[in-house]
Amino acid sequence: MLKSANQARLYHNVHDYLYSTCQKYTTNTVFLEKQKYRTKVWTFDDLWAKTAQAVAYLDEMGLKKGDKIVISAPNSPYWAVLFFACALKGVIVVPLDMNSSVDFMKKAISMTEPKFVYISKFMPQAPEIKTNKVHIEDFKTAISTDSDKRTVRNHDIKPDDTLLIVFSSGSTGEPKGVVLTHKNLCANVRSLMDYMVVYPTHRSISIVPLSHMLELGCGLMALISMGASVVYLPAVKPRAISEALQKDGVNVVIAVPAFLQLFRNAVMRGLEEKGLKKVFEKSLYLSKPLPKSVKRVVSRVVRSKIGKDIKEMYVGGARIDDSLEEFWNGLGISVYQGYGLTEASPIVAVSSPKPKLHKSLTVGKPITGVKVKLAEDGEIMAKGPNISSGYYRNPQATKETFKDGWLMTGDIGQFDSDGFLSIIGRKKSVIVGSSGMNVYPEDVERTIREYNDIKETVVLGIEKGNDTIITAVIIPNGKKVSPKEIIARTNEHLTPHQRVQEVIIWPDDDFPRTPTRKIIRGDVHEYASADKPAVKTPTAKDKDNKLYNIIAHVTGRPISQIKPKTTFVNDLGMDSVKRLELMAKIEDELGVVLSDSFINQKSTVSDLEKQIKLAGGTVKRRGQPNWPDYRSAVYFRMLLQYILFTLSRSFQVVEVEGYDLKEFGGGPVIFIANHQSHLDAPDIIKALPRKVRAKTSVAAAKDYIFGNRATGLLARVAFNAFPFDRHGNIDESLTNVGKFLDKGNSVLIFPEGKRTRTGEIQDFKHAIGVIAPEMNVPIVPIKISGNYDILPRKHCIPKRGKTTIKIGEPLKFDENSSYLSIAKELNEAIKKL
Amino acid sequence: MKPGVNIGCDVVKISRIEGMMSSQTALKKVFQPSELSRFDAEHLAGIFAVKEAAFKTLGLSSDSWLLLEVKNLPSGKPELILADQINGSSLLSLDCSISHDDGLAFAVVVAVNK
Repeated sequence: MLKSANQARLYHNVHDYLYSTCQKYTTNTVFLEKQKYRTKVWTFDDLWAKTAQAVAYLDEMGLKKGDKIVISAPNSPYWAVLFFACALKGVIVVPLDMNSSVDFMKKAISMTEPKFVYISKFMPQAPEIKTNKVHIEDFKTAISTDSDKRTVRNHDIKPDDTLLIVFSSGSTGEPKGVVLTHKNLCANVRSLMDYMVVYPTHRSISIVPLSHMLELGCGLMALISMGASVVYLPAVKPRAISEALQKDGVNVVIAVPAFLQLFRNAVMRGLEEKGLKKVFEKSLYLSKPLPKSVKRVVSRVVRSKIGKDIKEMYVGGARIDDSLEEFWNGLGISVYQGYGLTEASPIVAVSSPKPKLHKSLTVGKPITGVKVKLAEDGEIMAKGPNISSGYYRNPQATKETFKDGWLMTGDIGQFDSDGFLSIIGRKKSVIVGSSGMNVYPEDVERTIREYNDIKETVVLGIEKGNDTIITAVIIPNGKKVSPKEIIARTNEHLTPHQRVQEVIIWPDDDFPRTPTRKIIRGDVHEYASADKPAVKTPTAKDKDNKLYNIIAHVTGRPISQIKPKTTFVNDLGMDSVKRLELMAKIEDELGVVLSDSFINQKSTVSDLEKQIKLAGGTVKRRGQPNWPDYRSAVYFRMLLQYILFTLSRSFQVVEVEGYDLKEFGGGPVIFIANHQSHLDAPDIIKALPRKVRAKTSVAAAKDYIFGNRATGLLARVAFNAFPFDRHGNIDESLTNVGKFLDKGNSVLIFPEGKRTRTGEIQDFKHAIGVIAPEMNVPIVPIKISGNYDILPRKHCIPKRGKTTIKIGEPLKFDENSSYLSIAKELNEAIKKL
Repeated sequence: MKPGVNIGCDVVKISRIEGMMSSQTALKKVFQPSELSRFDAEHLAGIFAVKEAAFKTLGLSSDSWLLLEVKNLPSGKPELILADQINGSSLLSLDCSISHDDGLAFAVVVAVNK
């Protein structure tokens, strides 16, 4: 066995795995659960505690060892907890991809007869599933109560007990469920510990669906077994991914090749816009022989567009093009290819950062404990403790795929002289050309993709009479391409029997794909075999305009009908529901929050474009500076506050009554107070216990305090203040509040929005009602009186007087209350003090 | 709002609200968490219609969704609640009613002003 930094024994079952892991890494971070405005940090201790709570929950649901449940929900820590709890109890999990067709789901459900189907209530096809549904959101609520439960009864799970039944997704025909045991998964995790070099400082992001073994086995179980942490997004969308890659310190990515392709395209598009593409390509070429550390310095600017911290990418699920691997290596990001399949839970071989275990453009060597050999025709065969025993209730398929203990993978591979494995192609897609020789379409596809004007291609053998025609179905990269030219230039690089005979242009901008982004070749074949009308390539401009695409999607109109002068109401028939859908989609995909009142009778597409540009310029989630957290700034702030407090003593006496905040133990809170005078914020800060004071920030009016540079700077220096938009952009303000709370700072907010004119407490803006449940921290109401007499509006010289500050008990709100009632309740709470 | 009786009504297809239910972003723009706790399209369509009708009755801008809350009284009758920041000092009385049929939700909001 290889020497490893992670010396661990083979886990007996998942209980053993999880318990040992959580015991070892206790207070380290395991998950970052990104919410709309906040980030919840899970430690390994939390993971164990929640899993223990979830086991008790499964008991209450009446689930017993050997029962099955389906999980078909978005990736989240709750998915993981539900899975682990089932594993600990011996309940078999059937993970199904959320985007599977209803038909596929129904078949898988009727085959496995689960007791419950866990789905998200926000899932589009949720209403169609009738079998005992449970919403994963309700599961989250059920285990969200505070509990000190830490012990889990040993349910006596044997290594050979079934853990999972996994349906490979996307394929047509009868779904096949791969049976995986505790031993299969544990063996794979254990072997991966020898190959992946992962430390507790590693942080990854969950992109591939957890229903796919690459994510469940490697992205979750293998990574955290070595103490790494995983970022979970509220929704896996390109914009959210890139934001997390840039801001959450993600340094290792586990993904499918399509993801690498996507990000390369984004990088290249950015460079092309700036006219830097040529320079970049040249420097990429020149930097080839340089060591990784130098490449990283050179490529810093380019990498900062994707995520500056990314060092390694582990890629599996499909074969990756050589040029793609070289591209990332050129940026100083190492790509480690792996080879696996669901039946192998999932890894068979992987390239490793360790010496002698990495060779570019191969999938590395078979992992510890797994034997790999090639059949006569080159088919890869694998045997080992990670290999499934067969398909669920499908002896026929089991017999065909598992022969004498060997898994027939259906992939053609070859070993080089050093024992590194390369994948040549799928056995099923091999074309026997008219010459009688085997053509691997993957080889031809790679050659075609060498050119920038081809976005994607599939090469197939199409039967015409007695002949098999080698046909390339292509998707051009926006530009117009000539099939003749493609045939000519491609065939130059191919041996005679491989040569492309026909080129067909695919009518869409992507091929049909499985949830892990593999192309569904069968569908492409069907299209290519049929007689079809000539298709027109869409122009580059149409495709690139994201906004037009969004509008077309929401209104259900073809993109060609959308022009700058098109009006939303008259031309596109936009009504209030569609308007909301449009604004939500713009928010999700472009990251711009607009009010839906913007669209009226007259507004046109170009108006909206302008508005987005405008908002993009000002909203752009500008980060808050870091310097107020520097130690020197903190000391300076304390000094400044001391001076201010001394000054105020000359005209003002401050009395503090009510709840003693020293009693309050845990974490940040939101202070809310009525607003009488400019003295309010300093007085409240002064009234706080020293420890709390050092970690309290003030939400100050963006237009008033931060409208002026001098006052804005003073507010930051003296009170660690940040801008809060009281009129327009509530989203930006909430993002700021969330960031400060995440840092562990409490936040002081004046929910009236402005100082009182009469001395009376005014109504609260409803925003405070949104903040309370969204931020999920206690709210401490504070009533201030006396300052209206000392320094009311429009006065600059304070009178002498007494100020009373009454602090109320911390309040918590149910996440299902309404924003209005919370705002009203908080208002009452302050008035009553 | 003019003095005396003001009225507004609205009708919405329930299937369209169903389409909106897969976007949390869209839902959060329109509904209070309390309204979402009963997560069915017919119920939400009714609330949607009341809010749109209220925009007309009260002369609110069309993005004031979260300044309104629709609650059910124990009898099942809907009740419309306004945010404090909507100036309701001249309102003598406010009432709403919802009806569903054949995939449609319909609502009327009546306000009597001083």
